[in-house]
Amino acid sequence: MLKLSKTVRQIVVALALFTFGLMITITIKKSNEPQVLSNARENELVQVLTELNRQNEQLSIEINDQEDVLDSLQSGSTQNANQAALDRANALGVLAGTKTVLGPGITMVLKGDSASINAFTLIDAVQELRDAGSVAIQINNVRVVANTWFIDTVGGVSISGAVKNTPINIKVIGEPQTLETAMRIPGGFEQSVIANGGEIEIKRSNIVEIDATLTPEPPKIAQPTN
Amino acid sequence: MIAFVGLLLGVIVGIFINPTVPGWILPYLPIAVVAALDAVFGGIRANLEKVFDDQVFIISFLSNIVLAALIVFLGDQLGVGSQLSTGVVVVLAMRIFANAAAIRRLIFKM
Repeated sequence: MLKLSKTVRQIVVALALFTFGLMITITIKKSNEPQVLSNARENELVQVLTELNRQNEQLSIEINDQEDVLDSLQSGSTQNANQAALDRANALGVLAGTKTVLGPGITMVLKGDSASINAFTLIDAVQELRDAGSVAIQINNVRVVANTWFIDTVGGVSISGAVKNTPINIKVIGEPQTLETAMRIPGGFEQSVIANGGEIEIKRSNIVEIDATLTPEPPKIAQPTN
Repeated sequence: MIAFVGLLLGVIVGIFINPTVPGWILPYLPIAVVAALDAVFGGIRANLEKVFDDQVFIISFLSNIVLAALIVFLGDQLGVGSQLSTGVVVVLAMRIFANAAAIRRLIFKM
């Protein structure tokens, strides 16, 4: 046994409890932060991977179906083919963000600092909106499409390279009731923004105009077959 | 008395600083906290039973944290990390409850 004075021993115990208090608060803070893949466990990553593989399979099936449609169009009459092609072009234009879109939906205004409004928040919003069946999304003046990306930068959130600061305006076209419910669901997007100290305003609207478009780029790496 | 001031100070400092914790530590932090909690409850019980020894406390505090983190780390390497961490948390929680019950009995006997 070490011979130490009573005060020193008490200080050592206090130091241990100091570390304990520090650990508790830091752990609580860290566990409230958005989960990122970089600190996920191996089996969690495996789950994510499995999910992606499953989606991939479904999409492959869809591609096959679409190829069948294409085949039937190529062998069908010109009139039908033209009309169908026009419909497809319009649908794909909305999907790929090359056409402006008008329709019912919701508008949202997000305010807050980087703790409440960051790349993760925006990805969360886009995912929730897509789940709720959104047709087209625009964040400030950037059209959100399949390959839109978000990252936190010093100046704010970068959306496909364009740095945006709060307030962030999000315009969404889709079934307004469904979209609003998806945003306001308990424990959902609205609450998580407010819980992190941000402000959010959600408005339903009969006419939302999405005016940002993208210019389609010819495929560089992937070449469509057929 | 100094001990509780230390605890309070730790909580306050923890609230105001925002350190970057290395990614590889993050999975072990919650386990370490539960292990430390177990040691603290054990310490309170020993104190009420008037057998508290600061050296025993410090050693149990540190060894609890290291052992718990080590078991979970080993589990991660063996591919049973989440199961083992659940096991560790269950065992530690049982000990915490046992200690809490003893503390309750000691307080209400007085």
